[in-house]
Amino acid sequence: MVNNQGQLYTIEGVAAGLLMVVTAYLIVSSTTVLTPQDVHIADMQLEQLGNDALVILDTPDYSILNSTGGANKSKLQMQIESDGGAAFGENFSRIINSKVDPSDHDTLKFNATLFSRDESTGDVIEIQFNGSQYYRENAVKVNRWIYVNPISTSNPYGLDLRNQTVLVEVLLWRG
Amino acid sequence: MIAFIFVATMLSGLLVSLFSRTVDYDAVAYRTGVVLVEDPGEPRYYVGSTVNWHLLDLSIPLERDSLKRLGLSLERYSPGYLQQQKVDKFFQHDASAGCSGIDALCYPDDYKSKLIFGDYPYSFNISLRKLDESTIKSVGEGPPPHYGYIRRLVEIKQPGASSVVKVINWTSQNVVVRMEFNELYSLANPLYRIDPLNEETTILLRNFTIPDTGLIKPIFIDVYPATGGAPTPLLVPASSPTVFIYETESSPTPCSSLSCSMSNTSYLRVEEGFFKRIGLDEYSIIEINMTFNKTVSDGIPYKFNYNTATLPPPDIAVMEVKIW
Repeated sequence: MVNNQGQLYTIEGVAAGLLMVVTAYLIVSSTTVLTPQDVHIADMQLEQLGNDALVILDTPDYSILNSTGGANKSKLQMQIESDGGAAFGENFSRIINSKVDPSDHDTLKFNATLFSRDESTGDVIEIQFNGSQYYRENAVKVNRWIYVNPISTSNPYGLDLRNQTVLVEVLLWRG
Repeated sequence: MIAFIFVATMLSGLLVSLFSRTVDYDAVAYRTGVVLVEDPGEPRYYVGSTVNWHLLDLSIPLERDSLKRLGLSLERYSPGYLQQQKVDKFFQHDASAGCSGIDALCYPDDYKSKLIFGDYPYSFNISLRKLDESTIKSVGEGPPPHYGYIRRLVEIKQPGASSVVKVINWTSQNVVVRMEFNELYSLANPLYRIDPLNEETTILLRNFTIPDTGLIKPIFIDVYPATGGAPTPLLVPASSPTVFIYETESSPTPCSSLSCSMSNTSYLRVEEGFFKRIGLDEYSIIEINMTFNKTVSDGIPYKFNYNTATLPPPDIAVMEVKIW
Protein backbone atom coordinates (compact mmCIF):
# COMPACT_ATOMS: atom_id res chain seq x y z
CA MET A 1 0.00 0.00 0.00
CA VAL A 2 2.97 2.33 -0.50
CA ASN A 3 2.29 5.45 -2.54
CA ASN A 4 3.47 9.07 -3.06
CA GLN A 5 1.17 10.51 -0.42
CA GLY A 6 2.85 8.63 2.40
CA GLN A 7 6.32 9.81 1.36
CA LEU A 8 5.19 13.45 1.25
CA TYR A 9 3.73 13.16 4.75
CA THR A 10 7.01 11.74 6.03
CA ILE A 11 9.10 14.52 4.45
CA GLU A 12 6.74 17.16 5.80
CA GLY A 13 6.96 15.67 9.30
CA VAL A 14 10.76 15.56 9.28
CA ALA A 15 10.96 19.13 7.94
CA ALA A 16 8.55 20.41 10.61
CA GLY A 17 10.52 18.59 13.30
CA LEU A 18 13.79 20.10 12.09
CA LEU A 19 12.23 23.55 11.98
CA MET A 20 10.97 23.22 15.54
CA VAL A 21 14.33 21.99 16.84
CA VAL A 22 16.22 24.79 15.06
CA THR A 23 13.74 27.40 16.31
CA ALA A 24 13.98 26.15 19.88
CA TYR A 25 17.79 26.13 19.67
CA LEU A 26 17.96 29.64 18.27
CA ILE A 27 15.55 31.01 20.85
CA VAL A 28 17.41 29.41 23.73
CA SER A 29 20.81 30.53 22.48
CA SER A 30 19.64 34.09 21.85
CA THR A 31 17.93 34.61 25.22
CA THR A 32 20.75 33.38 27.47
CA VAL A 33 22.93 36.29 26.43
CA LEU A 34 20.58 38.77 28.03
CA THR A 35 21.09 37.68 31.65
CA PRO A 36 20.73 40.82 33.76
CA GLN A 37 23.91 41.49 35.72
CA ASP A 38 22.67 44.49 37.66
CA VAL A 39 21.88 42.44 40.73
CA HIS A 40 25.50 41.32 41.08
CA ILE A 41 26.72 44.88 40.73
CA ALA A 42 24.38 46.13 43.44
CA ASP A 43 25.54 43.31 45.73
CA MET A 44 29.17 44.12 45.02
CA GLN A 45 28.64 47.78 45.92
CA LEU A 46 27.03 46.82 49.20
CA GLU A 47 29.71 44.27 50.01
CA GLN A 48 32.49 46.79 49.37
CA LEU A 49 30.83 49.33 51.64
CA GLY A 50 30.39 46.79 54.44
CA ASN A 51 34.00 45.68 54.23
CA ASP A 52 35.23 49.28 54.27
CA ALA A 53 33.14 50.00 57.34
CA LEU A 54 34.50 46.96 59.20
CA VAL A 55 38.08 47.99 58.33
CA ILE A 56 37.44 51.47 59.75
CA LEU A 57 35.87 50.16 62.95
CA ASP A 58 38.72 47.67 63.36
CA THR A 59 41.45 50.30 63.00
CA PRO A 60 43.58 50.46 66.16
CA ASP A 61 42.96 53.36 68.44
CA TYR A 62 44.94 56.58 68.27
CA SER A 63 46.28 55.94 71.76
CA ILE A 64 49.19 53.99 70.29
CA LEU A 65 51.07 57.28 70.32
CA ASN A 66 50.46 57.89 74.02
CA SER A 67 53.70 57.56 75.89
CA THR A 68 51.75 55.94 78.70
CA GLY A 69 50.91 53.09 76.33
CA GLY A 70 47.13 53.30 75.91
CA ALA A 71 44.84 50.43 75.15
CA ASN A 72 45.63 50.53 71.43
CA LYS A 73 42.49 48.64 70.62
CA SER A 74 40.08 49.16 67.78
CA LYS A 75 36.52 50.34 68.40
CA LEU A 76 35.14 46.98 67.33
CA GLN A 77 37.49 45.15 69.69
CA MET A 78 36.36 47.30 72.62
CA GLN A 79 32.70 46.81 71.69
CA ILE A 80 32.99 43.02 71.66
CA GLU A 81 35.04 42.92 74.87
CA SER A 82 33.09 45.40 76.96
CA ASP A 83 31.08 48.21 75.37
CA GLY A 84 28.42 46.06 73.70
CA GLY A 85 26.63 45.93 70.37
CA ALA A 86 24.61 49.13 70.73
CA ALA A 87 27.78 51.21 70.39
CA PHE A 88 28.75 49.14 67.35
CA GLY A 89 25.32 49.56 65.78
CA GLU A 90 25.44 53.31 66.15
CA ASN A 91 28.90 53.61 64.60
CA PHE A 92 28.28 51.11 61.83
CA SER A 93 24.91 52.48 60.83
CA ARG A 94 26.22 56.04 60.77
CA ILE A 95 29.17 55.35 58.51
CA ILE A 96 27.51 52.99 56.02
CA ASN A 97 24.59 55.38 55.53
CA SER A 98 26.73 58.50 55.07
CA LYS A 99 26.89 60.04 51.63
CA VAL A 100 29.08 62.81 50.28
CA ASP A 101 26.11 65.17 50.21
CA PRO A 102 25.67 65.93 53.95
CA SER A 103 21.91 66.44 53.56
CA ASP A 104 21.43 63.02 52.00
CA HIS A 105 21.79 59.60 53.56
CA ASP A 106 21.24 55.99 52.60
CA THR A 107 18.78 53.57 54.23
CA LEU A 108 20.87 50.45 54.61
CA LYS A 109 19.97 47.94 57.31
CA PHE A 110 22.19 45.33 58.88
CA ASN A 111 22.30 42.47 61.32
CA ALA A 112 25.57 41.56 63.03
CA THR A 113 26.41 38.22 64.61
CA LEU A 114 29.49 37.04 66.53
CA PHE A 115 30.89 33.53 66.29
CA SER A 116 33.25 32.33 68.98
CA ARG A 117 34.50 28.94 70.14
CA ASP A 118 33.60 27.65 73.57
CA GLU A 119 36.74 25.97 74.86
CA SER A 120 35.06 23.62 77.33
CA THR A 121 32.73 22.02 74.79
CA GLY A 122 34.63 22.82 71.61
CA ASP A 123 31.44 24.14 70.01
CA VAL A 124 31.19 27.26 67.93
CA ILE A 125 28.61 29.52 69.54
CA GLU A 126 26.57 32.13 67.74
CA ILE A 127 25.86 35.42 69.53
CA GLN A 128 23.46 38.10 68.34
CA PHE A 129 25.52 41.31 68.33
CA ASN A 130 23.34 44.13 67.00
CA GLY A 131 21.06 45.12 64.15
CA SER A 132 17.58 45.07 62.69
CA GLN A 133 15.36 42.01 62.31
CA TYR A 134 16.20 40.16 59.11
CA TYR A 135 13.14 39.02 57.07
CA ARG A 136 14.93 37.31 54.19
CA GLU A 137 15.49 40.41 52.10
CA ASN A 138 18.08 40.29 49.35
CA ALA A 139 21.19 40.67 51.50
CA VAL A 140 24.95 40.36 51.25
CA LYS A 141 27.27 39.05 53.92
CA VAL A 142 30.56 40.62 55.01
CA ASN A 143 32.80 39.39 57.77
CA ARG A 144 36.01 40.08 59.62
CA TRP A 145 38.10 38.22 62.18
CA ILE A 146 38.63 40.29 65.31
CA TYR A 147 41.24 39.59 67.95
CA VAL A 148 39.84 40.06 71.47
CA ASN A 149 40.95 39.47 75.03
CA PRO A 150 37.95 39.83 77.36
CA ILE A 151 38.36 40.23 81.11
CA SER A 152 35.91 39.02 83.75
CA THR A 153 34.77 42.43 85.06
CA SER A 154 32.99 43.41 81.86
CA ASN A 155 32.22 40.71 79.36
CA PRO A 156 28.70 41.29 78.02
CA TYR A 157 28.76 38.33 75.61
CA GLY A 158 30.17 35.79 78.07
CA LEU A 159 33.15 34.93 75.90
CA ASP A 160 35.90 32.65 77.21
CA LEU A 161 38.42 34.66 79.21
CA ARG A 162 41.41 34.17 76.95
CA ASN A 163 43.09 35.68 73.89
CA GLN A 164 41.00 34.60 70.95
CA THR A 165 39.77 35.52 67.52
CA VAL A 166 36.04 35.89 66.96
CA LEU A 167 34.26 36.16 63.65
CA VAL A 168 32.01 39.18 63.13
CA GLU A 169 29.48 38.48 60.40
CA VAL A 170 27.27 41.29 59.12
CA LEU A 171 24.25 40.84 56.87
CA LEU A 172 23.59 43.99 54.88
CA TRP A 173 20.52 44.92 52.89
CA ARG A 174 18.75 47.94 51.49
CA GLY A 175 15.89 48.87 53.76
CA MET B 1 10.66 32.01 9.13
CA ILE B 2 14.22 30.70 9.64
CA ALA B 3 15.59 33.91 8.12
CA PHE B 4 13.54 35.97 10.55
CA ILE B 5 14.77 34.04 13.56
CA PHE B 6 18.35 34.37 12.33
CA VAL B 7 18.07 38.13 12.04
CA ALA B 8 16.41 38.35 15.46
CA THR B 9 19.26 36.33 16.96
CA MET B 10 21.91 38.54 15.45
CA LEU B 11 20.05 41.65 16.51
CA SER B 12 20.15 40.66 20.17
CA GLY B 13 23.87 40.14 19.79
CA LEU B 14 24.19 43.68 18.51
CA LEU B 15 22.12 45.03 21.38
CA VAL B 16 24.29 43.33 23.99
CA SER B 17 27.02 45.89 23.50
CA LEU B 18 24.52 48.69 24.17
CA PHE B 19 23.02 46.93 27.15
CA SER B 20 26.38 46.12 28.74
CA ARG B 21 27.36 49.76 28.90
CA THR B 22 25.56 50.30 32.21
CA VAL B 23 27.34 47.27 33.64
CA ASP B 24 30.56 48.64 32.23
CA TYR B 25 30.08 52.01 33.94
CA ASP B 26 29.66 50.32 37.30
CA ALA B 27 32.76 48.24 36.65
CA VAL B 28 34.83 51.29 35.73
CA ALA B 29 33.54 53.12 38.82
CA TYR B 30 34.56 50.13 40.95
CA ARG B 31 37.99 49.99 39.35
CA THR B 32 38.51 53.73 39.82
CA GLY B 33 37.50 53.41 43.47
CA VAL B 34 40.03 50.63 43.97
CA VAL B 35 42.84 52.64 42.39
CA LEU B 36 42.00 55.65 44.55
CA VAL B 37 41.56 53.84 47.87
CA GLU B 38 43.94 50.89 47.68
CA ASP B 39 46.85 52.16 45.61
CA PRO B 40 49.51 54.72 46.66
CA GLY B 41 49.89 55.99 43.10
CA GLU B 42 53.06 56.34 41.09
CA PRO B 43 55.67 57.54 41.91
CA ARG B 44 55.25 56.11 45.37
CA TYR B 45 57.65 56.25 48.22
CA TYR B 46 59.68 53.27 49.36
CA VAL B 47 63.18 52.76 50.67
CA GLY B 48 65.72 54.15 48.26
CA SER B 49 63.11 55.51 45.85
CA THR B 50 62.14 58.99 44.85
CA VAL B 51 59.17 60.78 46.34
CA ASN B 52 55.50 60.29 46.92
CA TRP B 53 53.65 61.91 44.04
CA HIS B 54 52.11 64.62 46.19
CA LEU B 55 55.57 66.12 46.66
CA LEU B 56 56.08 66.60 42.89
CA ASP B 57 56.14 70.17 41.67
CA LEU B 58 53.83 69.86 38.66
CA SER B 59 54.85 73.24 37.28
CA ILE B 60 58.12 71.63 36.21
CA PRO B 61 57.53 69.55 33.03
CA LEU B 62 59.95 66.79 34.05
CA GLU B 63 58.20 66.26 37.37
CA ARG B 64 54.76 66.35 35.74
CA ASP B 65 56.01 63.76 33.30
CA SER B 66 57.03 61.39 36.11
CA LEU B 67 53.49 61.31 37.53
CA LYS B 68 52.03 58.03 36.33
CA ARG B 69 49.03 57.10 38.45
CA LEU B 70 46.79 58.90 40.95
CA GLY B 71 46.34 56.56 43.92
CA LEU B 72 45.64 58.13 47.31
CA SER B 73 46.54 55.44 49.86
CA LEU B 74 49.48 55.72 52.24
CA GLU B 75 51.26 52.62 51.02
CA ARG B 76 50.67 49.49 49.00
CA TYR B 77 49.61 47.40 51.97
CA SER B 78 47.36 49.91 53.69
CA PRO B 79 44.09 49.80 51.70
CA GLY B 80 41.52 52.27 52.98
CA TYR B 81 44.08 54.50 54.69
CA LEU B 82 44.59 57.67 52.63
CA GLN B 83 47.17 60.42 52.82
CA GLN B 84 45.70 63.89 53.38
CA GLN B 85 48.23 65.66 51.14
CA LYS B 86 47.47 63.30 48.24
CA VAL B 87 43.76 63.96 48.72
CA ASP B 88 44.38 67.73 48.70
CA LYS B 89 46.57 67.58 45.62
CA PHE B 90 44.10 65.28 43.85
CA PHE B 91 41.21 67.72 44.14
CA GLN B 92 43.33 70.71 43.15
CA HIS B 93 43.02 71.08 39.39
CA ASP B 94 43.36 73.49 36.56
CA ALA B 95 41.35 73.56 33.35
CA SER B 96 43.70 75.54 31.12
CA ALA B 97 45.02 73.81 28.01
CA GLY B 98 48.25 71.95 28.76
CA CYS B 99 48.45 73.43 32.27
CA SER B 100 52.10 74.33 31.70
CA GLY B 101 53.78 76.07 34.59
CA ILE B 102 50.94 75.34 37.04
CA ASP B 103 51.41 73.14 40.09
CA ALA B 104 48.01 71.43 39.79
CA LEU B 105 46.53 68.45 38.00
CA CYS B 106 45.21 69.09 34.52
CA TYR B 107 41.43 68.65 34.19
CA PRO B 108 40.25 66.39 32.63
CA ASP B 109 43.33 64.96 30.85
CA ASP B 110 45.38 63.96 33.90
CA TYR B 111 42.39 62.28 35.53
CA LYS B 112 41.45 60.36 32.40
CA SER B 113 44.97 59.18 31.58
CA LYS B 114 46.24 58.57 35.12
CA LEU B 115 43.16 57.31 36.92
CA ILE B 116 40.24 56.22 34.70
CA PHE B 117 42.35 54.69 31.88
CA GLY B 118 40.99 53.01 28.76
CA ASP B 119 40.23 54.21 25.24
CA TYR B 120 36.56 54.96 25.78
CA PRO B 121 36.15 58.63 26.79
CA TYR B 122 34.38 58.20 30.13
CA SER B 123 33.10 61.20 32.04
CA PHE B 124 33.47 61.21 35.79
CA ASN B 125 32.63 62.90 39.05
CA ILE B 126 34.65 62.06 42.17
CA SER B 127 33.72 63.61 45.49
CA LEU B 128 34.80 63.26 49.09
CA ARG B 129 33.59 64.52 52.45
CA LYS B 130 34.91 64.00 55.96
CA LEU B 131 32.08 62.72 58.13
CA ASP B 132 32.59 65.43 60.75
CA GLU B 133 32.57 68.23 58.20
CA SER B 134 30.15 69.54 55.62
CA THR B 135 32.77 70.68 53.08
CA ILE B 136 32.65 68.62 49.89
CA LYS B 137 35.71 68.22 47.71
CA SER B 138 34.93 67.21 44.18
CA VAL B 139 36.26 67.01 40.66
CA GLY B 140 34.28 66.45 37.46
CA GLU B 141 31.01 67.55 35.90
CA GLY B 142 27.52 67.04 37.29
CA PRO B 143 26.35 63.51 36.46
CA PRO B 144 23.41 62.60 34.17
CA PRO B 145 20.43 60.63 35.60
CA HIS B 146 22.10 57.22 35.09
CA TYR B 147 25.72 56.50 35.88
CA GLY B 148 28.07 53.86 37.26
CA TYR B 149 28.53 54.25 40.97
CA ILE B 150 30.62 53.14 43.93
CA ARG B 151 30.85 54.49 47.46
CA ARG B 152 33.90 53.90 49.63
CA LEU B 153 34.64 54.60 53.28
CA VAL B 154 38.18 55.62 54.16
CA GLU B 155 40.39 56.89 56.96
CA ILE B 156 42.62 59.85 56.13
CA LYS B 157 45.90 60.19 57.97
CA GLN B 158 46.43 63.73 59.20
CA PRO B 159 49.93 65.08 58.61
CA GLY B 160 52.10 67.17 60.86
CA ALA B 161 53.69 65.55 63.88
CA SER B 162 54.57 68.13 66.51
CA SER B 163 56.46 68.19 69.74
CA VAL B 164 56.79 70.78 72.48
CA VAL B 165 60.21 72.08 73.48
CA LYS B 166 60.21 74.00 76.78
CA VAL B 167 63.35 76.05 77.05
CA ILE B 168 65.03 76.71 80.39
CA ASN B 169 67.27 79.54 81.50
CA TRP B 170 70.48 77.69 81.89
CA THR B 171 73.98 77.76 80.48
CA SER B 172 73.76 77.20 76.75
CA GLN B 173 72.58 79.38 73.88
CA ASN B 174 71.85 76.38 71.66
CA VAL B 175 68.50 74.66 71.40
CA VAL B 176 69.00 71.33 69.65
CA VAL B 177 66.25 68.95 68.51
CA ARG B 178 67.44 65.46 67.64
CA MET B 179 65.52 63.19 65.26
CA GLU B 180 66.46 59.58 64.67
CA PHE B 181 64.47 58.56 61.62
CA ASN B 182 64.97 54.81 62.01
CA GLU B 183 63.17 55.03 65.34
CA LEU B 184 60.27 56.96 63.76
CA TYR B 185 59.97 54.66 60.72
CA SER B 186 60.03 51.43 62.70
CA LEU B 187 56.33 51.79 63.63
CA ALA B 188 54.36 49.12 61.77
CA ASN B 189 51.00 50.87 61.32
CA PRO B 190 51.41 53.60 58.68
CA LEU B 191 48.29 55.40 59.91
CA TYR B 192 50.06 56.48 63.10
CA ARG B 193 53.61 56.75 61.83
CA ILE B 194 55.56 59.99 62.26
CA ASP B 195 56.73 60.58 58.70
CA PRO B 196 59.03 63.63 58.48
CA LEU B 197 60.21 62.72 54.98
CA ASN B 198 56.71 63.09 53.50
CA GLU B 199 54.95 65.41 55.93
CA GLU B 200 55.63 68.68 57.63
CA THR B 201 57.04 68.65 61.14
CA THR B 202 56.38 71.26 63.81
CA ILE B 203 58.39 72.04 66.92
CA LEU B 204 56.53 74.26 69.36
CA LEU B 205 58.98 76.49 71.24
CA ARG B 206 57.69 77.43 74.69
CA ASN B 207 58.76 79.15 77.86
CA PHE B 208 60.93 82.00 76.55
CA THR B 209 60.92 84.19 79.66
CA ILE B 210 63.80 86.57 78.87
CA PRO B 211 62.54 89.48 76.72
CA ASP B 212 64.05 90.04 73.27
CA THR B 213 65.38 86.53 72.90
CA GLY B 214 66.18 86.01 69.24
CA LEU B 215 68.29 83.96 66.87
CA ILE B 216 71.85 85.16 66.39
CA LYS B 217 72.72 82.61 63.71
CA PRO B 218 70.66 81.13 60.89
CA ILE B 219 69.16 77.71 61.71
CA PHE B 220 71.28 74.81 60.55
CA ILE B 221 70.87 71.05 60.39
CA ASP B 222 73.55 68.66 61.56
CA VAL B 223 73.39 65.48 59.48
CA TYR B 224 75.14 62.52 61.07
CA PRO B 225 76.79 60.08 58.67
CA ALA B 226 75.39 56.56 58.69
CA THR B 227 78.83 55.18 59.40
CA GLY B 228 79.31 57.35 62.49
CA GLY B 229 81.68 60.24 63.02
CA ALA B 230 81.31 63.98 63.02
CA PRO B 231 78.11 65.53 61.60
CA THR B 232 77.94 67.69 58.51
CA PRO B 233 76.27 71.07 59.15
CA LEU B 234 73.80 72.18 56.45
CA LEU B 235 72.39 75.70 56.29
CA VAL B 236 68.68 75.79 55.53
CA PRO B 237 67.85 77.21 52.09
CA ALA B 238 65.80 80.36 51.59
CA SER B 239 63.30 78.86 49.14
CA SER B 240 60.64 76.22 49.85
CA PRO B 241 60.67 73.48 50.95
CA THR B 242 62.71 74.70 53.88
CA VAL B 243 62.63 75.40 57.64
CA PHE B 244 60.79 78.42 58.99
CA ILE B 245 60.55 79.95 62.44
CA TYR B 246 57.47 81.94 63.49
CA GLU B 247 57.36 84.54 66.30
CA THR B 248 53.84 83.68 67.48
CA GLU B 249 51.12 81.20 66.61
CA SER B 250 49.20 83.90 64.76
CA SER B 251 52.16 85.20 62.72
CA PRO B 252 51.12 85.05 59.09
CA THR B 253 54.68 85.03 57.79
CA PRO B 254 57.87 83.50 59.16
CA CYS B 255 60.71 85.58 60.57
CA SER B 256 62.87 86.37 57.60
CA SER B 257 65.81 87.83 59.45
CA LEU B 258 67.58 87.25 62.71
CA SER B 259 65.71 90.15 64.27
CA CYS B 260 62.64 88.26 65.41
CA SER B 261 61.95 87.96 69.11
CA MET B 262 60.65 84.74 70.58
CA SER B 263 57.41 84.48 72.53
CA ASN B 264 55.59 81.76 74.40
CA THR B 265 53.83 80.63 71.22
CA SER B 266 56.77 80.57 68.81
CA TYR B 267 57.25 77.57 66.61
CA LEU B 268 59.56 76.06 64.06
CA ARG B 269 58.09 74.44 60.97
CA VAL B 270 59.92 72.02 58.70
CA GLU B 271 58.02 72.00 55.41
CA GLU B 272 57.06 68.69 53.81
CA GLY B 273 59.70 67.49 51.41
CA PHE B 274 62.55 69.42 53.06
CA PHE B 275 64.27 66.35 54.47
CA LYS B 276 63.95 64.67 51.08
CA ARG B 277 65.46 67.75 49.47
CA ILE B 278 68.62 67.50 51.57
CA GLY B 279 68.89 63.81 50.69
CA LEU B 280 67.81 62.08 53.91
CA ASP B 281 66.24 58.62 54.19
CA GLU B 282 64.65 56.40 56.89
CA TYR B 283 67.99 55.76 58.56
CA SER B 284 69.16 59.37 58.88
CA ILE B 285 70.04 60.97 62.18
CA ILE B 286 69.84 64.75 62.32
CA GLU B 287 69.88 67.61 64.78
CA ILE B 288 68.13 70.91 64.18
CA ASN B 289 70.25 73.67 65.69
CA MET B 290 68.93 77.05 66.82
CA THR B 291 71.38 79.50 68.38
CA PHE B 292 69.87 82.30 70.47
CA ASN B 293 71.33 85.49 71.94
CA LYS B 294 70.39 84.46 75.48
CA THR B 295 71.12 81.34 77.50
CA VAL B 296 67.99 79.27 76.97
CA SER B 297 69.00 75.65 77.36
CA ASP B 298 71.13 73.16 79.18
CA GLY B 299 72.70 72.06 75.90
CA ILE B 300 71.18 68.57 75.99
CA PRO B 301 69.37 67.77 72.72
CA TYR B 302 65.58 67.46 72.87
CA LYS B 303 64.46 64.16 71.38
CA PHE B 304 61.74 64.06 68.75
CA ASN B 305 60.19 60.58 68.98
CA TYR B 306 57.00 58.71 69.87
CA ASN B 307 57.36 59.66 73.52
CA THR B 308 57.60 63.40 72.93
CA ALA B 309 55.72 64.04 69.67
CA THR B 310 52.03 63.79 68.88
CA LEU B 311 50.20 63.28 65.62
CA PRO B 312 46.65 64.50 64.88
CA PRO B 313 44.13 61.60 64.85
CA PRO B 314 42.93 60.32 61.45
CA ASP B 315 39.62 61.44 59.95
CA ILE B 316 36.90 59.16 58.56
CA ALA B 317 35.62 60.19 55.14
CA VAL B 318 33.18 58.97 52.50
CA MET B 319 34.08 59.00 48.81
CA GLU B 320 31.77 58.62 45.81
CA VAL B 321 32.85 57.80 42.27
CA LYS B 322 30.39 58.34 39.41
CA ILE B 323 31.21 57.30 35.84
CA TRP B 324 29.19 57.71 32.63
